[in-house]
Amino acid sequence: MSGELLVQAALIGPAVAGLGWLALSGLPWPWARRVGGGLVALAAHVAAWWVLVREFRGGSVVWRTMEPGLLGASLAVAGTLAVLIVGPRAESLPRGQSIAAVVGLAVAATGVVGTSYARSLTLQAVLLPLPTIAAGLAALATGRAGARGLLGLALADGAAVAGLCVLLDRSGTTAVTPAAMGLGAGLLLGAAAAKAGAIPFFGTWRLAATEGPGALVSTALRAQGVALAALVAFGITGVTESVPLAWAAAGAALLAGASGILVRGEAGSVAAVTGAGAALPFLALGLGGAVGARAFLALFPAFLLAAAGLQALAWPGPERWRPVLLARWVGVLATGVLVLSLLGLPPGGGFPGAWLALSLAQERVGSSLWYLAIAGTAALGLAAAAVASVPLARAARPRGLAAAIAGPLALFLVYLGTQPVRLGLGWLVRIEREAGLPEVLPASGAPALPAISGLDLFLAALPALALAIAFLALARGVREEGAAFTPLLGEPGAPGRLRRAVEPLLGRARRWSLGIAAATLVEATALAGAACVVLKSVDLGFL
Amino acid sequence: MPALGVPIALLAGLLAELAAGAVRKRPFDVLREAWTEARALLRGEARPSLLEAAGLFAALLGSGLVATAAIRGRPGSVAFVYLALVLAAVGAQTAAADPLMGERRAARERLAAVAAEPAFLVALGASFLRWGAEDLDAVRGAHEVLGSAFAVGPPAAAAGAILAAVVLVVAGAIRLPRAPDDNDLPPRLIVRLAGWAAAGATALVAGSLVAGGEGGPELLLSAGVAVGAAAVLGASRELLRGRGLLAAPVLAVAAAGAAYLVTRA
Repeated sequence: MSGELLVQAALIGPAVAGLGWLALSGLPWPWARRVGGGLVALAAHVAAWWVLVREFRGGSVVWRTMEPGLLGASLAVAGTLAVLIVGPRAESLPRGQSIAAVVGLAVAATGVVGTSYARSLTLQAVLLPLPTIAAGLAALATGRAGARGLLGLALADGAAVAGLCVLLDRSGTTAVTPAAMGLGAGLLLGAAAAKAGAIPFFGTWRLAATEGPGALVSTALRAQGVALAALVAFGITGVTESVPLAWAAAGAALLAGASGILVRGEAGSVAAVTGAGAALPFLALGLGGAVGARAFLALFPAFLLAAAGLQALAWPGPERWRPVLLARWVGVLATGVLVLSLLGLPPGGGFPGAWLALSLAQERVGSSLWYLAIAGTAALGLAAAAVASVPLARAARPRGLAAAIAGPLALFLVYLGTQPVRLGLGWLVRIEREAGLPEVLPASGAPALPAISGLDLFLAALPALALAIAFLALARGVREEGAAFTPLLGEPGAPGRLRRAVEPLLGRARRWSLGIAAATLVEATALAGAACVVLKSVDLGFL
Repeated sequence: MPALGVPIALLAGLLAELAAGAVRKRPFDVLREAWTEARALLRGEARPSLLEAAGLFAALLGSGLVATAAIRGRPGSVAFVYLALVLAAVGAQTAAADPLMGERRAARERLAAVAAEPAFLVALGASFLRWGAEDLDAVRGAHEVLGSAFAVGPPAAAAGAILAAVVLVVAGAIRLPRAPDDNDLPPRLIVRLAGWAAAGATALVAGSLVAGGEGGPELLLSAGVAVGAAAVLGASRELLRGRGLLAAPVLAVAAAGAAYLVTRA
C-alpha cells in the first residue's frame, strides 16, 4: 500500500467512521452502527500503525505536507488508541448524548492525526480548531450544563492561530522550521497546555470535569494538545531548556493537586488527576535537552492512554447502573494503576518519564537551586493529587466492555512502568536523532532509564503481593463495599457572602448563555485567523 | 536484597507502633490488638475489601522499594525515594479509605496528609542537600568519609540536618492513616500493616540520611538512628493524633528553617 494512501486512511478514516456510525444510527439495530463504525475506526487505526511501522523501519511516508516522521506517527497512534479506548464508553451513553460523543470523538480524532502529521503551518491552522468545534458541539448536546470550558478552548485556538501567524510572518515559509523560543512558540505551547488539560480550571480541564458527553471528547483534545506541544518542541524550538515553561508546568501540577483536594465529585477528580499528569510532559519539555526530550517521549504515551482509560472507567457520566462484580473488581484495580501511571508513581506507566524529569531537575541543582524548587513544586502537586484521588478507585463502576479494555490497558501500563524486558530504546534514539538532539552518553552521568530494573521491581513486589494475597486467602473472600465518592473537604456548606453576591450575576450570564456566545465569537475569530493564515500562505506559494 | 525491603520496613514500623503504645503507657497493647485482629481475619469475620488489599499492596511495594534503597540494596535517588514514599503513603491511605472504617475520618486524615506534604518534601530535600548528594548511596559515601550528621560541622548545618530529619519523621507520621479505635468498626489489621510499612520506610530513610557507612560501628549507628527515628515517628503519631492539620504549618516553617540552615552552610 502506498504511503499516500496510508496517510489518507489514517487521517480521514476516523471522521468517516464517525459519520458512518451516525448514518447507521438511524437503523433499529444498534449492532449495525457498532460493527460498521467500529470496523472503519479500527481500519483507520491500523493505517496509523502501518505508518508508524514504516517510519520505524526507516521508510518515508509522505502525502503533500503531511510528513509524520517517527514522532508524528507515534503521536497519531497513541492519540487514536486513546480515542478508541474511550469510544465504547461514549457508545454506552443515552442515545442523543451517545451520537454527540461518538461523532465528536471521531471528528476530533481526525484533527489529532492531522496535528500529528502536518509539517505545514497552514495545515496546522486549518486543523487546529477541528477538535474544539467537535467537542463544543458534543458538549452542547445536553444544553448549557455540559458546555463548560468552551471559552478556554476557543481562546486556546485563537492563541495557537496567532502563534502560527507569528511564526509564518517571521520565517517567511509555510513549512515548520526551527526558530528560537519566542512569542510564536510560546503562544502555541500555551494553547497546547490548555488543550492537553494541564491548565487548571481552563479549557479541556473544565470540559473534562462535566458529566456531559463533551467530557469524553476531552480525550481527543488532550491528544491534540500533546501533539501540538511535540510539534513546537521537536519541530520548532529543538527542545531547548525553558525555565519559565518548567515553572509554569510545575505550578500547574501543584494547582492540579490542590484542585484535587477541592473537588467534590468523580468527574472533577478525574480532571484533577489527569491535569496533574498533563503537566509532566510540559515539565519535561521545559527542562529541555536530550534527557528532557527522552522524559517527554517516555511520558506522552502513558499519559494519553492512562487519561483515556481513566475517563472511560472513573468518569461518572449521566447514567447510573450496578456493575457486575468482576467488572467492578477489574475497574477498581485498573483505576489504581491508571492513577499511578498518570501521576508518575511506580509501577505505573508514567513512572520512568516522571522519574527522569524530576531527576533531571535534581541534576541541574548544581547550576541553580531554583531547579530544586521546580522539581519540588511538581512533586508536591503529584503527591497531593495522588492522595486526593484515593476515593476515585472506589467509585469506579465500569461496564463489562470498559473493564475488559481497562484490564489489559492497566497491564500494559505496568509493563511500561517496569519494563521487565526493555523495548523501545531504538524508538527513543531514532526520534532523538530525527530531532537533531545530542546523544546522551552514559559517561556524562545524566539520569538514564530505567530507574529500577524490572527484576528488582519484581523482587520488591513479590513479598508485597504475597502478603496482600495471603490476606485475601486467609479471610476466605473479599468484602464488597459501596461505590461512593467521598470528597476530601466533605459536602459543600452554605455559600459564602461573596458567592451569594455574585450568584445572581452568574445565573443571569448562564441564562443568556454569555459563555457560549463568547466562546462562539472567539472561535469564529480563530477561524478567521486561520483563513488569514491560508491567504498569507497562498501569497507565499502554498498552493 | 530487594525482597528484604518489605520485612525490614514492617519491622521498623512495628517499632514505631510500640513507641506509640509507650506514649499511651500501654506499649504492648498493639501486639494484643494485632493478634485479636489476626484471629478475626482467620475466622472470616474481617474480610478485606479489594481496595484495602490493593492499598496494602501499594503501601508494601512503595515501602519495600524505599527500604531496599535505604539498606543499600538498590538505587535511591531523591526522585525515586520520594515517589516511592508517596506510593507507600497513598497505599496506606487507600487501605484506610473503606467506608466501614469511617470514611469521613479517613478523608480528614488524607487532608492532614496533604497539609504535611510540603514539610515532608522540603525536609527530605534539605537532608539530601546537606550532603550535596543526589542519592542515598552518595549520602552513605559522605557518611563513610566525613561522619554522621551529628559529627560534621559547621554547627548550623549539622543542626539543620538533624532538624530536617526530625521534621521528615514527624511529617511522615502525619502522612499516614491510623487504624480507627472505635470498637464498633471492623478489625483493621490490613490498615495497621499498611501503616507500619510506610512508617518503617520513612524511619529507615531518615536514619540513612543522618548516619550510615560500610563499617561495623557506622552500621550500628545507622541502625540505632533508624530505631530512634521509628520511635520518634510512633510517638509523634500518637501525640499529634487529630492535630495533623494544626501541626502541618509549624512543620513547614521548621522544614524551611532546616533548609535555610543547610543551604547557608
